[in-house]
Amino acid sequence: MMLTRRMFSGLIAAAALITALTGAPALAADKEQAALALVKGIGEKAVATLSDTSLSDEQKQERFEQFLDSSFDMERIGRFVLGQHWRSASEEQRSEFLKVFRDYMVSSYADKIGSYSGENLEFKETTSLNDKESLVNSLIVRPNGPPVKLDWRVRQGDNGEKIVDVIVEGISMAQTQRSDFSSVVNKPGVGVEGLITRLKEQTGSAS
Amino acid sequence: MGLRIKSTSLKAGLLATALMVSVSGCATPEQKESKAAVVMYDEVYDPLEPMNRYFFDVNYALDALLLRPVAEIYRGVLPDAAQDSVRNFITNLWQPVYFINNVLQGEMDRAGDNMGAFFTNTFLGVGGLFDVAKLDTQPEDMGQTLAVWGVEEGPYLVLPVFGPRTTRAAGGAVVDYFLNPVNYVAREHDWDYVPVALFAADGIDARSRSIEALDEIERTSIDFYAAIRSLYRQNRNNMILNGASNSTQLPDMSFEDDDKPVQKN
Repeated sequence: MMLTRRMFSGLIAAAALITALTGAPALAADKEQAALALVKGIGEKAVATLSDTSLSDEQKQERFEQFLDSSFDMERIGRFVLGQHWRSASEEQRSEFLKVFRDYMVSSYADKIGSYSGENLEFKETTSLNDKESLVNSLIVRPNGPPVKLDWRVRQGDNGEKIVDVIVEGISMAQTQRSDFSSVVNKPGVGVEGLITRLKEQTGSAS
Repeated sequence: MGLRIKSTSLKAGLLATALMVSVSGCATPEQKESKAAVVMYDEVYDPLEPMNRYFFDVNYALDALLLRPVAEIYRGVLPDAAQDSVRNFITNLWQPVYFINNVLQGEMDRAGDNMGAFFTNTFLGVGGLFDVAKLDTQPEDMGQTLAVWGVEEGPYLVLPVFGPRTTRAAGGAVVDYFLNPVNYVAREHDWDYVPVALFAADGIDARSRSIEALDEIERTSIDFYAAIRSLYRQNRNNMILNGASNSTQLPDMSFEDDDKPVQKN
């Protein structure tokens, strides 16, 4: 009796140990695998779209908007980019900002679509950033010119994996935009309302 | 005589460096109410912003009037191979400085590459016009060395003609100037135009390679000055880390209500 009881508790301890040693890393690796799968999917679709000569620029643009809406956590990015001003913004301002911010992202990348010249994505390693986020390293291989490092920051959320930032040669797009936007909001008499107006002007003139 | 000129200019350089360091030392962040505001303040750290914006505008005007048109002509007239030779030649002249800085940073493999590239390209690459060594050496300056040594980056500066710098990088650049054997030789022979010509060639070549990139930043940014400030800083940090994984540098994108911050790994 004593022996079996000891054996039993020993088994439980062993099981717990095995779970601790193998279970947790397996779970973490799942997160990174999912992140890599998401980014790979996007990268392949993006290259296929860009290199498809049967599509017009408008059709490519439409597909690009689909990628953005389905695979990027635009709400989180928008909230991050607004930084300290998110808190002070009203509910209407927040939703209005998120709307114009999305349009601004679309228009910022719109005319890059036409300048595609045979670039390809090559995937490197994926590392864990914290319990929810992973960083997928990739290289843009260019037919002429040196390769460009492109890292994708992916985050697990309620709706699965979403991209929250892209980092080009160590430069985070979200951080750059936060700096840019917050400088505008901080100007006297501008505020979040002023930023929204400026973003609208920008997308109006660019698209 | 040559020696005396050298020692006075050296003193001026040291004085400039001391001034930079003291400027960075005495500016202290104001009290800020929220955590997010503190993060932004540290990230931006631009206490001299009004002056910097003024010189940013001055530089922008100089660029529009002079540098950009010259860079466009340079790019349009010179064959690609000749442009690459200009870049190779300037890089080669800076290799000794990269070498010293890599040694000071303890990056011996990279320092070895600098040495190899310098001798190979100087002798087999016709004085550095051709990159025979193909070692892909990266610029290493005293600003980066100081960063590795733990010196704070200091306030952001926009210098007339020279453009954006952190105070640390600006101080480092003065030291690099004195470390560069080319400038040393030029001083000995009173060839004042040599450093100026090299600086100009470097600037024109670099500008010609960034016309589209800068146009795009200007077009897509809301505040061009703030966007450049952020890009400059992030690029400097990337250079300091020699392009190593920058997960520690990434901003926290979780919000207080949902989870743990980014781990420092």
